[in-house]
Amino acid sequence: MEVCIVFTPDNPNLFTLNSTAWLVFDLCDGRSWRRLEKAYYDAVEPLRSPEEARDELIGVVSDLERKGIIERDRVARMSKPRPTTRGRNKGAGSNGG
Amino acid sequence: MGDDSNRNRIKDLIHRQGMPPAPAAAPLVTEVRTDGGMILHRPPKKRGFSIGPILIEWTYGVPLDQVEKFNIFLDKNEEFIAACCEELMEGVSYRGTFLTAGFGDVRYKTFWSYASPEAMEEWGSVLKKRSKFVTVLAQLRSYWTRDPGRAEMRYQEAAQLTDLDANAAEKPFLQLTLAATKVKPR
Repeated sequence: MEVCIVFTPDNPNLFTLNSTAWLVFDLCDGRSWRRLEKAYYDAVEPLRSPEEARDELIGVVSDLERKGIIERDRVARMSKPRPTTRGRNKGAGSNGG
Repeated sequence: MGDDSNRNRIKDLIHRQGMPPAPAAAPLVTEVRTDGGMILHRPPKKRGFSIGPILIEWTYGVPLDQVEKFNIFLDKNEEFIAACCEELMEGVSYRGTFLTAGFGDVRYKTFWSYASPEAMEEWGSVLKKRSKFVTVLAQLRSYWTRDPGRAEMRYQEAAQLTDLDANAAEKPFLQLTLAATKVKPR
């Protein structure tokens, strides 16, 4: 299987993450935004420029947060527009492979 | 989430897909399906018959004990190489690597096509920068370089050379060659 299926128990829903969203989800382990950005760019270069990778990342992190799949660290909220993500994922379970 | 082996599997998946898809999280709508008939997919749209006006062919052998390793390398990287060519350059296409199907020597042929002679210069800017693409390309080329009997051929569409005299106007050696066809050997 080439997608990741995520369950969000707080607001019961199932989501499928494609490969790049899955990587972002996996990378959201409490690291800083800068490390997240670098790790994501390393995975998609040279087919994305650093700017494209950053824009994509901002979009998907917001989307994952809106869907309750990840949540932002409170401290990081103060450092907009570069949030830190935390992979507590509100108890979301994943099953990918 | 995230041990390294899982993360590396995801990265490998992205790499194998060639062009990374835009990240997407979509609601999964579950459905109950009846045991229906077979779904027929329409055949892919037919494309132009020619691979391209200019074709470069690398020919090389790989020792038998490395064949599987090389094939795995190709399986993992070909989509990525093709996507990088299309995305980073104009008129440059990776056309695949083929293996002899008989029982003789194990020979590979790797094909590249170019939309024009100028397109062959597109590599310049790409190869100057460090990237995963350059790393993978160097690995592919390393298989070619290891074979002392390697060859590289350039082909062009024959049908575009219908007036050889005109084509030879600025190519003295071609002029001589054409003239030589009328000379009787002594």
